[in-house]
Amino acid sequence: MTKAGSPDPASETSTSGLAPRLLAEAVRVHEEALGAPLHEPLADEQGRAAGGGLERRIIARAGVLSPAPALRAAFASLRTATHIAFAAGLIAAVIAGSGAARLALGAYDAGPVNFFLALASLLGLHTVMLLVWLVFMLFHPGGAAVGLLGGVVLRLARRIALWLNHGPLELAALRAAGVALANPRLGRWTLSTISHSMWMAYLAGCLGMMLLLLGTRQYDFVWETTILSERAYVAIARALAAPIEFLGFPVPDAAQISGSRWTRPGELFTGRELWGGLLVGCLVAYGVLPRALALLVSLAGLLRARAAYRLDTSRPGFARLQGRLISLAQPVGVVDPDEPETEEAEEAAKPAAAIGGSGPVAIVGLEIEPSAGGWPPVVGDVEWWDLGFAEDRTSRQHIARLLAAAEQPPRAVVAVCSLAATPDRGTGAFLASLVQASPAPVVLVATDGQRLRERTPRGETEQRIADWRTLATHAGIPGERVLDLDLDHLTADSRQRLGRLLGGRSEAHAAAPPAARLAQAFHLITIHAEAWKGEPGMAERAELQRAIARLWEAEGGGAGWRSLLDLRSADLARPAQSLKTAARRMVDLLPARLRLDPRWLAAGAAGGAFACVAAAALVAPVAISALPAWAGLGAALSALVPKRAAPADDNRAIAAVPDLGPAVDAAALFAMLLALQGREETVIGRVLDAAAGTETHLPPLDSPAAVRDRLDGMQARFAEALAAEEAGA
Amino acid sequence: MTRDRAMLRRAALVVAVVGHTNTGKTSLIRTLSRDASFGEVSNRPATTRHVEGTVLLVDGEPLIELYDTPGLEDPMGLLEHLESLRGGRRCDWIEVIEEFLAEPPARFAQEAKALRQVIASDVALYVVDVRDRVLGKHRDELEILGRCARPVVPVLNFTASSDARTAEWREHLARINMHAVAEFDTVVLDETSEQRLFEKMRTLLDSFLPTLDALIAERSRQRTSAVRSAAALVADLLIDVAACRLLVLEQDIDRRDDSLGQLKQWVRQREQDCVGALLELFRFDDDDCEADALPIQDGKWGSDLFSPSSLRDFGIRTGSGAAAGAAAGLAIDAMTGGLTLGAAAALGAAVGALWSGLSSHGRRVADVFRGYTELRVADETLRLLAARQVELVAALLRRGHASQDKLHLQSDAEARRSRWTSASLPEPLREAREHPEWSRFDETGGPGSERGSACERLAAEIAATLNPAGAGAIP
Repeated sequence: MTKAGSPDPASETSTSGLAPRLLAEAVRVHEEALGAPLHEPLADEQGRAAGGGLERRIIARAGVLSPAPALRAAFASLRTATHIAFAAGLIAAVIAGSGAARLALGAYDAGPVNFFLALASLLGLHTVMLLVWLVFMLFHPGGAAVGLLGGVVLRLARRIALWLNHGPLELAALRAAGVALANPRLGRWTLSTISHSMWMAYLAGCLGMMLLLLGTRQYDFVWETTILSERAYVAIARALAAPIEFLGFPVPDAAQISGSRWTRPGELFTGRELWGGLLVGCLVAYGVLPRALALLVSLAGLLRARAAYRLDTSRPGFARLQGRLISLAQPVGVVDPDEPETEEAEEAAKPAAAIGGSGPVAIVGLEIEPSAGGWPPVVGDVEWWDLGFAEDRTSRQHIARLLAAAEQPPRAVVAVCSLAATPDRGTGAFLASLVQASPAPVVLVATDGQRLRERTPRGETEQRIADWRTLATHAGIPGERVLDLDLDHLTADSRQRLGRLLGGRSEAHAAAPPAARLAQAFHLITIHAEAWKGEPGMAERAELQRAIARLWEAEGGGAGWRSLLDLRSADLARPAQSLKTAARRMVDLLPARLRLDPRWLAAGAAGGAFACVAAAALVAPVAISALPAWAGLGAALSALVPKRAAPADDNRAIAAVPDLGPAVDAAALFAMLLALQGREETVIGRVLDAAAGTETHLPPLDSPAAVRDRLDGMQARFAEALAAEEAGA
Repeated sequence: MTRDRAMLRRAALVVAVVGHTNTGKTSLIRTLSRDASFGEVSNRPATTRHVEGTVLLVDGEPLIELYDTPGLEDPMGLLEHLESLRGGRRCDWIEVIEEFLAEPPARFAQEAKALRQVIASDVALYVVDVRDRVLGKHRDELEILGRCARPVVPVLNFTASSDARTAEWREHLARINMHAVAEFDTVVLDETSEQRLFEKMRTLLDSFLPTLDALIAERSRQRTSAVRSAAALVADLLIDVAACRLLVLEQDIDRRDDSLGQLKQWVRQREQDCVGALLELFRFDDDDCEADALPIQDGKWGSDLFSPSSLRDFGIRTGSGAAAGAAAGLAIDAMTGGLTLGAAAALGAAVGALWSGLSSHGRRVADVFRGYTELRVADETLRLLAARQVELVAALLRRGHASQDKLHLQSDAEARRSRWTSASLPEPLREAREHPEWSRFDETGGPGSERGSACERLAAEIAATLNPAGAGAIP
């Protein structure tokens, strides 16, 4: 940290080195404290222009942000503070060192100096600390003990820095320095360097005082022992002295050593200058030299750590800048533009000759799978001539040949395509060739609406049908001969519709007009609502839906609404599964807007599920509450109705007002669906959309009167929309 | 030095994306380039009628050029045309195709654009909608592509769909000798399958090994970094909110609505900041077309954090007698000042922790004696906060570039959610409860080393819930 940011101005704009990184770190801390990155487009631009990796760009951006100069000043003041702390530490160490030397040599009149004790008191702690440092660096490089003195100095520097200035930017700078020091390599080498510097100052103080005292005073050096032999002592002293002698210091020889043993007071000592030389030599050889070596190693480590220091760009404060600074892709634009379409010679559609006469109706499937109801589908008294499926070139040619060679020309050709497939020019070309080859009018039936709905949750069904219609028109099939009809979910009404188009005998349409039937159903809902005490239970809701279903059942068309909801009687044996299917199917039939509305989504799912229960009860008349289907009901509903964000309504949950709304909505939706069965699914969607109304925040329905009001509104809108549809058709 | 050499050898790889119409070619490029504004996507045929390109960059260096092409709409007609062009000659198909490209009939203008781009590229990605059966048109397309003298990697799109026929497609592709097949759902983004796609390309393109390796490494680094950052952001939020508390004088207990509102407002704002940071982290623009794939609207959680219905929506059970009205979502801790035995025991083990616990408890006991009541954010709210944020991050991580069918992600989401809604709160959060000074709600509070370590532990736990087993561990 001391050397944080060299002061030369060149480094202010460069992106390498420690200083710019510290600045970026400080900017991050500052921005995180603010809660969001600073919005400075110019700086972002500079960052992007810097090129290279994210780190480089972050650094470049930080360097030109508006708080950068202030942060640099903060770092300068932090540096000053660190210098002060460092200098104070050095002075203290020099004083400590000279004090230690003074103590080691003892008072002048205290008699001779015990050489080995003096040496131990001078170098003992120093050597132990050096060894501790070494051990920690080797075996536990992350440990805090690598630079105890360094830590003290840095803490002092922090105090001084805070005392000098403690604005938010200064705090950011301080914290950034802390982050940098938390980097294991940088931290430990910085602390080591400071610690070694302190010890060097201590040794310098020692050495200076020692030389001063030895130069100006006269000390006698002796050695003493109680348990060791003289020979051992001489050996130790010689071993200590050998390297020192090598360095050129005067040292006592063996005889002089053994002669220096303390015997009695008042004796005359010789070889003072030799012992003094040995003491100074030991200080240099066993103190200054190893410490200097460690200092050099630490400095080298520090330099390398500084050069290797990188920002951790996965920190949120940095990572979130990615979007501003680095793009993942660079659009190159359009390389081969669309040529303005050469207007295709619009095929003059054959005049829509009426379909009539006798003969079979040819049917061909275009890249579809046979429907679940069997192939060809059963439609009234229509006699099919099955041409098979057009899947590839061979089968297409085969079908064309069959048509051309027909002995008895068909009265119509029905081509069945799948709404799940995207209409393409290839299919268009085949349809056109079919129109050309066929002696009779061609009808296009678009099936698989359910599959398309499952695939496109956002409700692009209408668009897809329109695309098929366009394709058909281009191929020469007039719009009224394109029928959106789900062969998997044929109802009596839809069969009749297809039959009529194919010129079959038009059965008398005895059914009551849908609006009248709906009025009966809505009246039933009101009656049931009046009987409910509080929110209706599951059995009560199912009972209501059974009553509604009975209204239509009476006509003998009961199978119709069941197949509309995919309720085959065989499936009713597996209640959990069919509950889910029915709920899902009902939801899928809803127009996109209603499907995204939590209220109608829930109503649709519940309506479908209860319809399933009602159907089960109609098939095998038992008490509704005794049906086994209940177990799966909750699961079926919760699988379909996502926990969408509800409006912030603290009070609703607390106020215990009974809300008949969900039950009424579900039942009304069910009734409207029954009233609309057999129509094109797009028509069903549009009428339901209109009937549902546009109010989003409805008060809870808490009285039969309110129920009647809501149903009346719905019924009026329903009648209006249906009238508009019929007028349009 | 070695890095420089590697850079020199990294040539940009040119990729053509082809396929039948409306199979998600543009979506694939959007997803690979993380650029939702690329091209135009719709569910209609022939949305793309030109060749448009984008370059994938790594640190500003262009690595892969992706070109979007118009769909092959009439492959049967085209194949027939090519066969008639060739006639009875004995020449390589590529010559026939070049002949066709020299003067394409107007009928096949779109197909010609696509084929021209394939021939100008190093590899073609053939995008398939696996919800379709293998039809004659697909066979013909593959046959035409096989004659273009370029490696082709089939990319199976919509594999996450419930009616995907992945096995059928793989079988067919193997029959026509295409074994390097990639599954890549453009709707449900999955980093593993993206990586596999690049690996499949690598098997066919020896000379571009360094390019693809660099891209794979960068993408995996990005994901790791995104998960770590996101987890750190959420952890920071949770610690802030778990630690925050409000002191209210006992005698003011009836007039505390103002200060309650203040605390709640602070928590709401804090959550909003975190949402903003997450969206920015994942390069999310408000006008992104996939906005409705996220559980939030207009960059905000629609429902209020403190409303009981929000808790219910996330399946969080409120304890008996959950506070209603103004105090909903807050817990009153008047009696003990937080000195519950359980909390103290949780702190217990380490001496250091014990000491800090004691000193902080001391202050709190003093507060109680001075007649203060302590209010803080209830556990349930904290759970909701965590569950919501984790859900958002998960959605952001898996964000493809089309709408998202939530059903397929449900089971995954349930598991993630239950970690926060039913299991006990993570230990760092319980610790934060004892340290009001960790919260930025406290003017002088905020980052510190103990808080930092709690934050890190919590972030690791969050990152673990974000990475289901097997999907790339976080170091």
